[in-house]
Amino acid sequence: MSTIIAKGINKKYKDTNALKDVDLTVESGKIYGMIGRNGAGKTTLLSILSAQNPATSGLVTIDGEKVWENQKAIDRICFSREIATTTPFGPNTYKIKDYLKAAEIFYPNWDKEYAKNLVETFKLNPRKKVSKLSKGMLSMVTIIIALASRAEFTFLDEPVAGLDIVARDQFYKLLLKDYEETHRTFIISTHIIEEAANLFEDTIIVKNGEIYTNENTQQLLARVQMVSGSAEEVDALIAGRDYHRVEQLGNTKRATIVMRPGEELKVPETVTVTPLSLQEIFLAVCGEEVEQ
Amino acid sequence: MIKAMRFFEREERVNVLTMVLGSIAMYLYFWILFPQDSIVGGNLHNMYSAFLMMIGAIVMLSDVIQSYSRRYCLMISGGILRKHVFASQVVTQILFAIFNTLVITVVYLVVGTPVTPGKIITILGLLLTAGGMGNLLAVVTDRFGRPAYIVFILICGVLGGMMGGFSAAGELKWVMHFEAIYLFPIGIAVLAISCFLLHRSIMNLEVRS
Repeated sequence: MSTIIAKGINKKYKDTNALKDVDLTVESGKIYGMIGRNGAGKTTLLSILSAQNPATSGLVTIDGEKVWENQKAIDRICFSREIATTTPFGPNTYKIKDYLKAAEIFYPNWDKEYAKNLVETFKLNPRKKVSKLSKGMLSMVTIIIALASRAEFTFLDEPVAGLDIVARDQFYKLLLKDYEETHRTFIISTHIIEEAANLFEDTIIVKNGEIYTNENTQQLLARVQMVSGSAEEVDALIAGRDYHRVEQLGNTKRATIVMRPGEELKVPETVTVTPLSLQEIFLAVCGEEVEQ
Repeated sequence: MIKAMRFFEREERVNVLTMVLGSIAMYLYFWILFPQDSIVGGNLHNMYSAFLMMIGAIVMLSDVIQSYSRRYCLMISGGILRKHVFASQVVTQILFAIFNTLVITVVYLVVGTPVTPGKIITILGLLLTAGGMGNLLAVVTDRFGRPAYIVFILICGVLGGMMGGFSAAGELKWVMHFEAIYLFPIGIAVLAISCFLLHRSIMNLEVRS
């Protein structure tokens, strides 16, 4: 089994600490979901894992070999990221076919036939300039590059941004089909959590430049739950635990509790325990500062 | 490195086409503007080499800025090592300068203009200087943004105006008055200094898209 290991990753942009001492292990053969608020550091982390950008400090390795400026390691990774429609000197004059030709040169396992099929599936005109594409169409191009790269570790940064529901459904189906066939590793960063949650075997939550959790999605769903009952009972339950989103109305209180791995929650009969969806967990964990 | 060179080879086709079509367009422009019995009009076939050199120099000046604005990020995000991006950029520049010099030499030979090794080295030196200047401008533009770009446009405008003035006065051959011994080392020096800065800049480049 191959693994990408990031150790002690820090990334500073002038006065901003985009990533703070991040440790992360990515195992092969899984679909990871990466979720976090805007500016949490998801794209920065993916770009460092794929050696597209340098970390201020820390090390990324793939099967023990460092990734930075290592062709052998980088050839195993594809991070298909957002395509800019403008450059500092005007519109981006590249066409879709230019991106596909470039990808054919760059990725050692590039599947030209598959890319051609995907262009037809998404009804794209390869002769069209990327500066003339809608947000959804740009996402389609990044999806095509990611899937046709056939890279062992494939990262997609908000691949469904701007896609309509039909195209999103198409993408999820394509992704699953590809995964069944190749069993390669995907990391998908997304804001449309509810839709994609079922795809994620593991979920990585990035919060304020740190990894809040990286664990099996079912395990995460099992250990984060909402408890509601009298204020005294809920206070007793949250004491000494990691908890979020505490709300109180009169003497009724509710809170989201994060249990320790393997821990079983023993609650009085008067306390209601409600399982949460991945989106609700995300809201509880990352939405606090907004509510405060 | 091979992947990087293959990418640049595709990109350079546009530059070669620009050089050829641009010089033909200049030739036609002068052919329309100056009658056959004028000094410029009568000497137009000899001037075609100078047009090739001018367009080639402009292409070399502007090419790295193009690279900075779109090629480098695309290459790095496609998994090309930064050191290979840098090396292939420089090799491409040198190959383009050599190719341009060869084309100019062939044109000289075809139209019957005397060619000396000194002249060829001078042309190569001029083109390498243009490439080096292009590297410097790209690094400065990347560092300081649009104002630097505007300065670049102004410099090109002034240079273009000067070239136009010289050619109108029939003195476009002023370039040849430089001794090869000066221009070639200048070209190499400018290219070497600019390469040092370009390398540093590429190694620290933040890929954003």
